[in-house]
Amino acid sequence: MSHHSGQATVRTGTLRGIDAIPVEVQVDVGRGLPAFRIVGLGDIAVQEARERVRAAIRSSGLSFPDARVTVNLAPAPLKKHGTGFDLPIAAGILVATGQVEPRFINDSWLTGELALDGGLRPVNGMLCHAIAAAHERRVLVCSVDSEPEISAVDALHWRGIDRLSDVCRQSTPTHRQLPPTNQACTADLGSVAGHQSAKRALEIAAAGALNVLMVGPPGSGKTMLARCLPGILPPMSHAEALETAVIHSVAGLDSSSASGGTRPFRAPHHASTLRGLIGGGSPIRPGEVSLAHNGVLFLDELPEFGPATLQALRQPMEDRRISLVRAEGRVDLPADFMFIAAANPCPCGFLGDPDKRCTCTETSISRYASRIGGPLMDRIDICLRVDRIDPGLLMSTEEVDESTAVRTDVQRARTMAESRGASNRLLNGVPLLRACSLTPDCVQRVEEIASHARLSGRGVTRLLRVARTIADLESTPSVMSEHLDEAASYRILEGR
Amino acid sequence: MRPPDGWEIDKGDPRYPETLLTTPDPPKRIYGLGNPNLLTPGLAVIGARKSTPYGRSCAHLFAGWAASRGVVIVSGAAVGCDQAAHRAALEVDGATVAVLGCGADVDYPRDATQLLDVIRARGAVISEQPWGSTPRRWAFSRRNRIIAGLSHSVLVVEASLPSGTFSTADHALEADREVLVVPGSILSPECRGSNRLLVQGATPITDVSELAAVLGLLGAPEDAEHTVSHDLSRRDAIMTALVANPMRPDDLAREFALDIVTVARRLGELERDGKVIRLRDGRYSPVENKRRRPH
Repeated sequence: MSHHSGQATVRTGTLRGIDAIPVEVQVDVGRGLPAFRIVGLGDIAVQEARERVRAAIRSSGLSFPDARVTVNLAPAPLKKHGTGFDLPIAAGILVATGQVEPRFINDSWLTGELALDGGLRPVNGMLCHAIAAAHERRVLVCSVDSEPEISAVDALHWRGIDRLSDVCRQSTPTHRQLPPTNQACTADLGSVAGHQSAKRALEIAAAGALNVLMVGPPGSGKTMLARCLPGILPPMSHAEALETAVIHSVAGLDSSSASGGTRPFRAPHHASTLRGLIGGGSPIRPGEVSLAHNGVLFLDELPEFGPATLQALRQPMEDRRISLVRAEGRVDLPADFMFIAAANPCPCGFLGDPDKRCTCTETSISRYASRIGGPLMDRIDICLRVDRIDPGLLMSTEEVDESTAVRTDVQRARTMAESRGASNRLLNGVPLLRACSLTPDCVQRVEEIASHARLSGRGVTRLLRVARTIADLESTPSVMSEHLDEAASYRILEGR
Repeated sequence: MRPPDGWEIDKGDPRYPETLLTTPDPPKRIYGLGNPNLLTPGLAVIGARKSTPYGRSCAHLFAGWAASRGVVIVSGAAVGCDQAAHRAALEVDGATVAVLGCGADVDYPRDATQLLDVIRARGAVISEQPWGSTPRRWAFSRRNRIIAGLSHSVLVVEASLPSGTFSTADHALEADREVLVVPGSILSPECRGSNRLLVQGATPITDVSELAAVLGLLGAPEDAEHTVSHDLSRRDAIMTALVANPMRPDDLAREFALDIVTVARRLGELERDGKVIRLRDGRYSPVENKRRRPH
């Protein structure tokens, strides 16, 4: 094989949503005026690979061919994004020019960004590349820095390198080892003083994966309570952990805590854009709803989020995933989160506060409440009032671990719900009634509550869903009158 | 534009209410809808907009009783205690006058539209603002002097501190009207203003016989129907505590050393039985003691 002509193909991939779609990098080094072209719908980052590849090859003490170099990314109609093509393109050129033996790239999947000095760094979505490589039974060749990220993938063979020149150093493919699952709480319930009814409501919400709205004045501990939620949820299964880690990997965030089993807690600010919340852009970046997948999405100051943003939350809350439709086609991202929100009771925040006076008018209070909007309120199962607690109580509280015991109860309740076939939050209509198996006496109770509280049909559904979850926490097969009474105390307050 | 059935009474007109002439600053012209003959000395029943069931119960009790004895009930149609007073008067086919800060033909507050229509038909709605005037803040504190001026006495059922209700009480004192106050719990923020008025020398009203004495009415009833009372026969500690003062579930749990689940369930049960309601601020309070629920 002549030093200045030849061909090579290298396997790599490009991200689409949370999948790495396989791409073949075909390199042709042939006669003609020296040139370097990349075809096959690469974005600007792919085009810029030419400069990085040329410099990296030279800095690694290898030679860049003085010939006509053509790179095709197949399949050609698929749009390719990002800097991960640097390594496969450079490796392809080195193989095509006979500087590296083909056995180093055969049956491999190469992904990585090159620095001008020949160094290699990971790109976003390394976990997706690892999953795709394992699926194709190829050896993943990537930056050695990717180890914490890709170690969650079962049955992956990979080779970590830190410079381009190492591509021909055949070290034995490393076998991955699953890190121990650690259940780290964002905050422990024991660290929150007082708030007995709020803690109870969170326990019920966690058991049924129900959506929660907390209403209370500023500084009453709403955020602190929300942070306790991930810690009382059962740990993620390995499959769930991997799903969540993949999304974090695509977004370029640390995915190792998710793959270690810690449920994500996402608290976007109300100034976040719609795209930041639901995802978007090109290439598509997962939004907060997807980053909270299998975890908790917390929206503080709910009425401050724009109406368009809150409307956009409806689809993921209903379908447990978000569909982003773009010119290149539709991309579905998982978005199965527990929703918890906090709101002030009025614009000034002090309505109902025993010490501070509310300065709002009746009109401004109802206008503020209406900003949340009916469709979102319809999806709130539990509404609770959170008030500032007595400072004396704060000082007399000792920090104890409360979350572990609650998590055990939550786990038991969920197991009970699953034994009926469906999670409580998905229950509706006839299956919900069947799950509750109300006695005629209890049916009458429901009617009494509904007439006193002027509940709509949806309101009754929410009441039963919460009551069913309370019964699950007590391992009671049918919903009893006291469960209904307690459930009624978590309903949404309308008007006065 | 004047509505077809609207009337205007200028100062100097023989129909102009005499009671208003004795005030420091009588309105030059009164615009009204309904029955102009009702502008006789009445009982003003006023209270906070951000009211509790306690305030609304008291407004309902005293306004209803006085209206049934032929006293005209004057108030401002505001959300809360004012509306409870008007409604109580209408329920016993009594007379009631609503004094507005906007035009007498304007529906404000908006959720009082229906109530105002009934008052226009069976009582009177008046204002010193010309027809069609939109609600403005200053006009509402000005109209308070008319509420006080049209009345023989002013009954404050519930007022926090500070409160718009105070301005009506001040106007009542300026016009030499009697200020009557229903005392409230010293722990309830909604009653701080009314209790303050008592400290300053207002006359306390704790049942209808005291109101009868002040209004110079005879034949105060002895029946239990006209006292604020809750069924405490079950010796229920939680209910007793709530009658004294609305409380949050957490406070009740601490007070009675009960776990929160027990308290939540008991409150749910009391609410289902129609004995308590959950207030917007999360506290539980006994229901408005309007009429006996059929059992």
